[in-house]
Amino acid sequence: MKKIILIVEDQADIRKLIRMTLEFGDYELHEADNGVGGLRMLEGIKPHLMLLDVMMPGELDGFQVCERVKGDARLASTRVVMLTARGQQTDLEAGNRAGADAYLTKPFSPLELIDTVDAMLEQQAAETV
Amino acid sequence: MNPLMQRLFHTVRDGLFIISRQGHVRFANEAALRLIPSRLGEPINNNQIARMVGGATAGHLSVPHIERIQLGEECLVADADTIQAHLLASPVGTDFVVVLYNLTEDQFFTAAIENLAQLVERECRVPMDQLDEALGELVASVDDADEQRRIGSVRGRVAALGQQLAEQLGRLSALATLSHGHAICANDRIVVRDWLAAECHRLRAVAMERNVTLLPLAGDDLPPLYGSERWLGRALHEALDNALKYAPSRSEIAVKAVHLNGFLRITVRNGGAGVMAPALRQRLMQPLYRGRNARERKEQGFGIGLPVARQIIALHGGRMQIEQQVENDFTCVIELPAGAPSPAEGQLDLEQAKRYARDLARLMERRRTAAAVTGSTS
Repeated sequence: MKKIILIVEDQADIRKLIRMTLEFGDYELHEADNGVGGLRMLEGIKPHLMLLDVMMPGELDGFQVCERVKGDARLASTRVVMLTARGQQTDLEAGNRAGADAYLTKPFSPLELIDTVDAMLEQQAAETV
Repeated sequence: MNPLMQRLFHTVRDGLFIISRQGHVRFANEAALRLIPSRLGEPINNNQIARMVGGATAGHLSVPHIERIQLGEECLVADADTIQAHLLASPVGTDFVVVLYNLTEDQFFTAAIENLAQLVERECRVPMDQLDEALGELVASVDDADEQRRIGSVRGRVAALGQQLAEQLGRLSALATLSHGHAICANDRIVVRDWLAAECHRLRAVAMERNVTLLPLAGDDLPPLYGSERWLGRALHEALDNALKYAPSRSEIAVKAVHLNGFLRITVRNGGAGVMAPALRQRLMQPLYRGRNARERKEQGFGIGLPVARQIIALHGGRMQIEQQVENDFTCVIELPAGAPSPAEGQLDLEQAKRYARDLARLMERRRTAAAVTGSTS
C-alpha cells in the first residue's frame, strides 16, 4: 500500500518542488495551501506523514495545526515534519511543544527531504506494526 | 507660462522642470536650477533625466516614473548629492514634468533627529541613574527614621520623573527611527493572549496609580501574529498608555482581541470623557497633535505615542484608528493580519531553485545507480 503524505504549504512554488521531489518515491500525495484546509483533509485521507509549513497566513499557522494533529487520538500515528524558513531556537522549542517529529529548514535540499520522509515513514511503520 | 504661475513655482521648495518630448527645458524653477543648472530651450543638463524623458517619449518607459540620481559637482546646493526625480506627464500639452526632491536634505534632518534622540536618551539616562544611586546613598546615611522616609519619598519622585523622561525619549527615538524609513523585517511569532497579558502587566504600576484596571481578554485559540515583537509591543504599549491617561478613576480598560475575516482586531476601550468628532479623532494620529482634552487636563505627552503606534501597525500591514460609538466611550482599534504575511507571487528564491535543480539531478543519479544495482543482482 502506498504511503500517504499530506503537504500543507502556502507557497505554490514550494509545494510544486516538494511534489516533484516526492514523485521520485512511491507515495500518494495530497496538498493543501493553508492550515484550515490541511486539517479538513486529514479526516478523509488519514496521512502517514504531514509536511507542514510553519508560517502560513490566516487562521492557523503550522504550530497550531501540529498541536491539533497531535491532540487527536485518531491521528496518533501521523508523523509531522515542520518546514521552516526560520530555524530559530524559539521555533524549535515551539515545534517541540506542539509535538513535531522533525524539522526541515528552508531552503532544504530534495535529498534531505527524501531522506527525512523515508526515515519518518520507516519509524512510523515500525511503531504501528 | 502665466507669470503668476511661474512666480508660484519659483517659491516651491522642490525642483520642478518642464521638459519637451525632445528633451529641451521649457521651464525650470529656482530650486531645480540650483540642483541641476540648465538653460531654457536647451537639453536638460543631466544624462539620467534626459534618458528618462527619451524613454518615456519612445514609449519604453511608462509614467509616472521615479529614479534616484547622484548629482555631480555642477550642483549649486551645498551637501546635496542625492535627489529623487519623479517623471510625470504634463497636465497640459505633451511635455513632461520632472519634480526633484532633495533626499540628502531629508536624510540629514531625519538622521539629525535620530542622533539627537539617541544622544539625549544616553546622556540623560546615565546621569538619572547616577542621581538615583546618590539619593539612595543619602537615604541610607541618614539615621533619623522620619528624615529617612522624607528623603526616600523625594528619591521615589526623582526616580518616577526619570522613568517618565526615559519613556518620552524612547518615543522620540522611535518616531525618528520610523520617520527615517526604518524597515521592520522581524518575523517573530507572537501568541496574542500572552502578548496582551504581558503588555498589560508592564503597565500595572501606572494603572494602579491611576486606580484603573487593565483587563486583557483573548482566547487561546486565536491565530498568532508574525512581526516584530519589540515594535508591536511598543505600539500596544502606546495604545494602553493613552487609554490609561483618559480613563476615569476606578474604571476598567478592556483590552480585547478577536479574529475577524483574516485579521486580528484588538480593541482598547476606555470610558474617557467627552465626545470627539471623527476628523479630530483622526488628527490624534498625526505627530505632535494633542486633543483639547489632553491640553485642558495638562496630561503629559506631546502627541507622539499614537502616531508612532499607527506607523508601526501600518508597517505590519495593519491599521489603527480611534472609534467612538457613544459619549464617554473611546476605543482604540488595531487591526493586524492574522498569521504569517501572505507570500508574494513567484517568491521562490533563485538560490533555492538552483539548489533544487542540482539536487534533483543528484537524486535522479542515485535512483539510476540503485536501479542498475538491482538489475545486475537480479
